[in-house]
Amino acid sequence: MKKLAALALAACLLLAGCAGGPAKSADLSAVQAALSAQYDLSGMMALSEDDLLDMYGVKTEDVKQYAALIAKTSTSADEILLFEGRDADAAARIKAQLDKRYQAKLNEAKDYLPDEYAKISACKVETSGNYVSLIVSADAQAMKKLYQDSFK
Amino acid sequence: MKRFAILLLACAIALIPALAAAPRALADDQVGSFLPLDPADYPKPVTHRPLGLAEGDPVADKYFNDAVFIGDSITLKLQRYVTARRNDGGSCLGRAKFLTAGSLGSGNALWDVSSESVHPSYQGEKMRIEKAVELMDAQKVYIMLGMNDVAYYGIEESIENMKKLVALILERQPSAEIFIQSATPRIAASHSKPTNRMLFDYDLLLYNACVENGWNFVDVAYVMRDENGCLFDAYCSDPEDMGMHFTDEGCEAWIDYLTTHAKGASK
Repeated sequence: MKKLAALALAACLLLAGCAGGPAKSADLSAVQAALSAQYDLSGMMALSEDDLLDMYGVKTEDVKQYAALIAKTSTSADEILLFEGRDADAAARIKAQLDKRYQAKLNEAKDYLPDEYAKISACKVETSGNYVSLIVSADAQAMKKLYQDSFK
Repeated sequence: MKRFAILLLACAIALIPALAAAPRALADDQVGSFLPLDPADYPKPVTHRPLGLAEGDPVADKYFNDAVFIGDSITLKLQRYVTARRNDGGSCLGRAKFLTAGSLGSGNALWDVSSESVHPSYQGEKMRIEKAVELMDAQKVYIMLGMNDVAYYGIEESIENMKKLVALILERQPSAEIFIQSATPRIAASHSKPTNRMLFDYDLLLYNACVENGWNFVDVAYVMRDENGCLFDAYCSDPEDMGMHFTDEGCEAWIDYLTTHAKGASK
């Protein structure tokens, strides 16, 4: 019985170790700054906390930190949305809102902006822990790598 | 005496066509006229004066606090411009809200909401326009739609769809005042439909509908047209493509027109 308990304890410790200890985190303001330094984002503008609710239905109380940029023109689908939810439930709510946003972007571009539609189609909403992201850009893959590499 | 009476009658009969035509010819100069405008009276897609609300002193920004702007990608650019101004710490159209979606028209606004529909979202939820207006408790409802309607539905049906949409809005939000904005033109280099002639004719009939129904008409397109009825190149952000979307300069002209052509503004 003692041996079994010890084995179970060892298994638990091993599993905890495999989980990687403390979760990795990223400073989203720093990510935005790095993206701005590396890519020409002059055609985009930063969004305020009020905009998050008005435009995406994301509630401030769900957001621990964020970086949100959107194209200044209505004919570009470019959008960079990076969020850290306050907890897993908050992250799930944010993801649900970004999924709706993603679908709306697809619908709106489908009939009159074929190039933008293709750009949006190549991107998707992604989740990592409490972090949720949607990066729509011609450079989306490289931007996503920069974002993912910022987790420590 | 009889001869005089016959002469008088003959003169009157001869004058009837002239009398009927005269007011129409003057109609676009007579803001508030109840005589319907006829596109056939306009050889070029231009009016000599703006239709609808007259120019006045600029209203304060707070005038727009209870306003919502409904529109397609043309108004979406206005929304982006206003958002940028506000986020830079400036004041722009008060706290006016926006209900915009690329491809939106008065026709597809009447469709049921579905995963494929292009209804605008309010706080992240896609919904019918009339429902969003009610939730916002908007008291001034500015609408600019038509670019995605005229070529597809034709002018008459587009007007009918607009009437249906406004009726639905007023059913849910009876206290709202309606401000219909004229659909803005495209640059001279644009040759696809809708043409500037189609958009202009649509605007005239939209104006007629406003007069008939007691809605305000805000002739934003008037300041966007050159002498041939084309969008000024300086106001166009996509000259190589659709030739209809605005630059920041175009948005500034739009906002200036809105603030100087408000309800109750006086000069």
